[in-house]
Amino acid sequence: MIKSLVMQFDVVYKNLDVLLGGILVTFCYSIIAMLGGSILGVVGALCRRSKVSFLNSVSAGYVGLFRNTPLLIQLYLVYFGVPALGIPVSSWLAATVTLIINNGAYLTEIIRGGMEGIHKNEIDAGLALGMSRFQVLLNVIIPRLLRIIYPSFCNQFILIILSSSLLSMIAVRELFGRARAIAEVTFMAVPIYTATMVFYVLISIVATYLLAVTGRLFLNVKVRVF
Amino acid sequence: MTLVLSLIGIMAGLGIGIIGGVIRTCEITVFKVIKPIVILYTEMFRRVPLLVLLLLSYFLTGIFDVEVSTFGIAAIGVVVYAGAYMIENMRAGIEAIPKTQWEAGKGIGLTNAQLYRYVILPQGLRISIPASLSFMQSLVKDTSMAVIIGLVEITRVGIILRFKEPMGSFWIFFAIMILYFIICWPLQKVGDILERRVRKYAS
Repeated sequence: MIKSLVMQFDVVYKNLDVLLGGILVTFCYSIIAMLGGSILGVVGALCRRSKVSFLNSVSAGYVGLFRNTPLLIQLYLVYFGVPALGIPVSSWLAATVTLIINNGAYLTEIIRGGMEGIHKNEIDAGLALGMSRFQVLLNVIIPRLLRIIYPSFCNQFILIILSSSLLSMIAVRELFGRARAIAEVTFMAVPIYTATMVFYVLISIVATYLLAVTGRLFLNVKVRVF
Repeated sequence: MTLVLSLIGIMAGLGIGIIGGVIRTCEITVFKVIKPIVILYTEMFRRVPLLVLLLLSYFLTGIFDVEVSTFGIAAIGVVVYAGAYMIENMRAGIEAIPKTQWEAGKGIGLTNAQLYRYVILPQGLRISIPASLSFMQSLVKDTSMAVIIGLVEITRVGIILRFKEPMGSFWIFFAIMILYFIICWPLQKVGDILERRVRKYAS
């Protein structure tokens, strides 16, 4: 029985190019989601910390809504729900928009936590040294912010990679979707899904390691890998 | 009705995950043989999406000819996932305890088991509560993935309703979103308050 199980893994070798292409798609969606989410996150964090109560409550509502609902439901809402209202939505558009909005909510909280971690004294010290407000922003706030945020940021990136498997429910051909398609065509489910599991573990380890090395090199941040 | 199913799934996953996490935190010092197995389990099942775990448990129970209902399969997947995360949370909680506690316990003459029971675990559990609560809150949302194996829960009801009435899709999924929001938002608020209290206590 073991021998027949091992011989079944042939399916993985035959379809390796498809699966590796899926990994590439997964990475693309994750990076786009992270970049777009970061922009939204910065805007949201600024809104959350502003004194204007309208901006404050709107962004609080946005963050609360998209952090307390599952990503799958958000995907279905945009992919199935919005076309029912008359606006046509393709799968990659729905995937990108939903991923950006969802991650924007999480990153808003992360960046806001970072902003609150910067003591006012540091800003005052910079201003007292004679720096203009813009110089304080560039030399004091941004490096501090990046160093505080970086571990949570890396964690969020790994979470995005893992939750991108949900995009297969929206007809996006990323790793998990391709694995499912192959498994349904060849009826060899266990080898394919085991290989997919190994791929996700490898992706996760490589991404964590690369992010940790980048953090130590450029930002002087110690991120725990294992 | 589907709400109850969803909640039972969460509770089962949480309960067994917490117990598994607590039992396996003994990997820190003794049980050197079990330690690598536990490390392997944790690292493997934390870095894999829940969807893959659900599908794997679906097919593995099929291979071994076990008669398990859809709910059981979903429960197995969720429990394995939650167990891996809980072990990490407990481990972080235990490692956050100052070394002096261990030394003091050994100095008094407590055995290892007594040390764990009276000194380490109470403090460790308390430290790990904010992270565990936030994980529980995300677990509530992640049970929506179980629709991939056909479990009839809120998300699946939405999909079925969508087939019956395609025109109202937006409001169907919007209503489901509001439902999840009502379930998860109190959990998040409680987690926030507890986290603030733990931070105040620690500093």
